[in-house]
Amino acid sequence: MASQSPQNQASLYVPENIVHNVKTITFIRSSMSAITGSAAGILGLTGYSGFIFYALTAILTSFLIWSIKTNANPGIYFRNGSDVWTEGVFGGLFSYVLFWTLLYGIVHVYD
Amino acid sequence: MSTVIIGKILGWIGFITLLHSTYSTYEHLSYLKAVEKVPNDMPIEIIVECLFSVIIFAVSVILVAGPLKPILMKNEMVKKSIDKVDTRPSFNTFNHRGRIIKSSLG
Repeated sequence: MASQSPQNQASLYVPENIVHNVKTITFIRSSMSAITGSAAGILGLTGYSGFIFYALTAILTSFLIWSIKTNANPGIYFRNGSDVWTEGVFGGLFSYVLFWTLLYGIVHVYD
Repeated sequence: MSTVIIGKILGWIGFITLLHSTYSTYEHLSYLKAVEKVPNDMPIEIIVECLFSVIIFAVSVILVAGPLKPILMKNEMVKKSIDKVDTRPSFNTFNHRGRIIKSSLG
């Protein structure tokens, strides 16, 4: 496998299916960011505890994707097996902060 | 298809419990304000409800998202017939068996 040229490497994979998998993972990540951000705002987390909560829920989401979506075998669906743990985590952080501050403001600040 | 429906039902359950815990937190804080206490800790019921709704929602989103597709070309080619592969425009075959069949008929 390593001796092949990059062009042969590319023809080993189906590009449409790679795009479909990344799209599915991004959908899961962004939905979970919105929901966990809302939960952090409701619980009234501030400062570092909110980011720790995001890290914990991101690990939970990754574990659920790994166990339910890929049946503990991510190599079939991603070129790197570790993509299932890292894909879209930092993009989701921004929507997390958005929903966190929104719900914190609604519940804890204004009354 | 049925997993999508189960996922949607779970999603609505998660959404409703999340809304309810929002309203409970709001009520709790306004009660504390009315009796002039300083809010320190959230009640454990609200925390449990909120985390429960997050877990329900995680499962529902994963069920709704639909299955992933295998990316290896050799798994994809197993499903295709040889005629389907040969009829792509950049790979026209001119030297095929039709000539022999025609000559043997004539």
